[in-house]
Amino acid sequence: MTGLVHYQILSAILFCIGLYGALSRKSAILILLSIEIMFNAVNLNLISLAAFSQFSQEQVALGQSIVVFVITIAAAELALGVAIILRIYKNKSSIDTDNLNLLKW
Amino acid sequence: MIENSNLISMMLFYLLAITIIASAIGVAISKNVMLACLSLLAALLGVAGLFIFLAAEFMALVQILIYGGTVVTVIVFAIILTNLNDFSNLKSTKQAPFAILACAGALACLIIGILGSSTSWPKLELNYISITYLGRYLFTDWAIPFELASLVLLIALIGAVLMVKPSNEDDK
Repeated sequence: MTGLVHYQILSAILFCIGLYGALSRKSAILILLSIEIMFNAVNLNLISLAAFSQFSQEQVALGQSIVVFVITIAAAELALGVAIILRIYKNKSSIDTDNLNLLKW
Repeated sequence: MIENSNLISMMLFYLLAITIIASAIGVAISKNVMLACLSLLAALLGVAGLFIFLAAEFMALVQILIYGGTVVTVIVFAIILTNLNDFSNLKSTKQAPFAILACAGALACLIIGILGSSTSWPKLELNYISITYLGRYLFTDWAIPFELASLVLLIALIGAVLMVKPSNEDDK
């Protein structure tokens, strides 16, 4: 039977893969994709903790409610991120993050 | 009978886990941007399958609707609009070796932490709550944060529209 540990290790692996993608990608859109993977790892962790918790029904609902809020914030973040990427593309004709060094001192 | 269903659920779990990890690695290292996007879709649908496994079927529906439907579509549109023909910018940055080191370190710390703390979590059967209960919970105890979240989403969408709107001085 699969226990909590399986889900937690899976979500840790998923989070680290997303972290690697976000750190090593050059294209801004692919960084956004990797951030979505990280969001999913967190959601999986929350849902599995809620499903295996030893507390009342309310705690399970709490875990799932937090995931609803995380998904909402992720959607808002994605909309703003894509808007920023499109704006940068319009200004610089490139979304290569190595070229975005305007703020570099 | 119970042993049998346990074996099947175990196999299904590992199948889903392998699918998710393979697709996530595809997102992280694929050279083709559309392939990365479709791998993201596969990973998200796999996570939705795991949500069904965890008796959170409402979350699975939300995951398929929002991530599978909306997020992937928005990203495909972003790929179309930014014209990623030159695949040169799909190469990894120079900091990729350090990123591997950092991620391996983080993964090691996380797994040590998980395995170290797992003894305090006995194996229990899954908790199940109905959609009715979850909806009542969201709209009574968490009504104000829920409405605030919808307000945040609305403001973010308005901000996104304002940000990509061509300003009159620039483009006309």
